Amino acid sequence: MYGATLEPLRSDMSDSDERAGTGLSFEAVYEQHFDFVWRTMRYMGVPESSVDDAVQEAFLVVHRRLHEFEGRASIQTWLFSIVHNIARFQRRTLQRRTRHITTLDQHELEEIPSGPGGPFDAAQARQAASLLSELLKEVDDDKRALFALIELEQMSMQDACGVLGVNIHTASSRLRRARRQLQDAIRRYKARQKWREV
Amino acid sequence: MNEDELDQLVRRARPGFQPRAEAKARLHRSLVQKLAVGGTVLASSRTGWASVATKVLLGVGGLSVVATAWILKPAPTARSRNAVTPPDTALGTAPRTVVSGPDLLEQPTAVGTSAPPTPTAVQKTARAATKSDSLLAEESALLLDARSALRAGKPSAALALLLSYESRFERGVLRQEVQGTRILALCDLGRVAEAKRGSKEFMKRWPNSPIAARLSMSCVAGGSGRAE
Repeated sequence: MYGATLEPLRSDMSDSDERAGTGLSFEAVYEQHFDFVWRTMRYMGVPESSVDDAVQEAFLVVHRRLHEFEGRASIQTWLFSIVHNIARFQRRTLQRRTRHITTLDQHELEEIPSGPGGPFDAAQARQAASLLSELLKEVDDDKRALFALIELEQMSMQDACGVLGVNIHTASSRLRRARRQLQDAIRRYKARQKWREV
Repeated sequence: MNEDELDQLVRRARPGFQPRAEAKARLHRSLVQKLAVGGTVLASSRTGWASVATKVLLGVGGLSVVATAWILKPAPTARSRNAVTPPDTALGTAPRTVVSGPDLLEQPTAVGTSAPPTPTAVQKTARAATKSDSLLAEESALLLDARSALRAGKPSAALALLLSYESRFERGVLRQEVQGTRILALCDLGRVAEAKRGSKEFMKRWPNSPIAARLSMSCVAGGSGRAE
C-alpha cells in the first residue's frame, strides 16, 4: 500500500534545499542513507516496532541541522552520531516504560515479509536479526557499535574507526571484547532454552 | 564453541536488518506531513495548502512537541500467531516469546567458501566445546537447584547454593542469572538493605539485562538501584 517511489516527490526539488557548502540536500541524504540509518537503529537496540519513529526522529534532526554539517567528517559519521543519541534515548524510554521484556520482538513476527529468497527465508532472517538484536543488548554500547559496523554493516576497520572516532588499536580490542561478550550471551541464551525444556 | 555460531548468526541476521521495501516511501510521506505541520515544507512536497498562518502558529517549537510526544509513544504489544509464551523464564515470572521453527543457532547446511579447518584444529575446537558445554551444564544445574529451593520457600538453601556457585565458577557464564537469583533470595530472607546494594551493583554491571524487569518487582523496587 505504500508502494509509491520517491521519484515524483523529488521532481520539483529546488536549489534552496541544498544546504551549506556541502552541496547535500535533505532529499539526497534521505535517498542515499535511509537504509543505513534504519539498519543502524536496529543494531543499536531499537526494536523493530519502534524503529519507524526513531528513523523519522533522526531525519527530522537531519532536516533541522543539515546546514551545520560542514563535510569535515563523512556524512555517515554525522548520521551515526545522530542515530546513536536517538537510539540511546529510545532504549531508556522503553526500559522505563516496559517492565517486562520479551526475548524476541513480537511485532515483527506479525507479517511475513517477502524477500529475494522467498517469504520463508525473509522471515528467518528477521528472526535471526531479532535474536541478534537481543543478544547485542548485552554488549556495551561502544563495543556494540563497532561490532555492528564491522560485522553487520561490513565496513572496513579503517572506515569504522573513522565513523566512531577511535584508533585502530582501541577498535581491535573493542571488537575482540564485543565478540567475547556475544559468545557469552549465546551460551546464556542456549542455557535458557534448555531450562524451558526441563 | 561459539565462534562459528556467532558468525553463522551474523550471516543469517544480516538481511533481516534491512528495512521493508515500503518503509522508505511510507516514512518519507510521514516526514513530509510532519515538516509541513511544523512549519517547514520539503521541496519535494511544496504545495499551496501549507499556509503561512499554520507555519507561524506551529513553528519549530510545535515540531519539537510533536516529535517528543511521538517518540514517547508506547511500543505496540501485538502478539504473533507464530509465537508462544512459555510459563517459565530465567527467573520465573517475566514473559518471554519463543519462535517456533528452525533453530536459529543450528549448524549450517551449506558448505562455506573458506578453507576447511585442519583435523588438529577441529579436535582442539571439539575438546574446548565439550569442556565448556559440560561446565555450562554444571553451572546450569546448580542454578536450577537454587531456583527450585527459592520457589520451595527455602531462600537460605538457595543462597548457600549460590555461594557455592560463586566459589566454583569464578568466571561463570551464568553469573548474571546467579546474581539476580541471589538478590531475590535476599529479599525473601528480609535482608532488604543487602538486596538493594546487590541490585545497585547488578544494574551498574548489566543495565540492559532482562532480569532487571524481574528485580523491579521485588523488594528492591522503589528506591532501588536502577542505574539510569
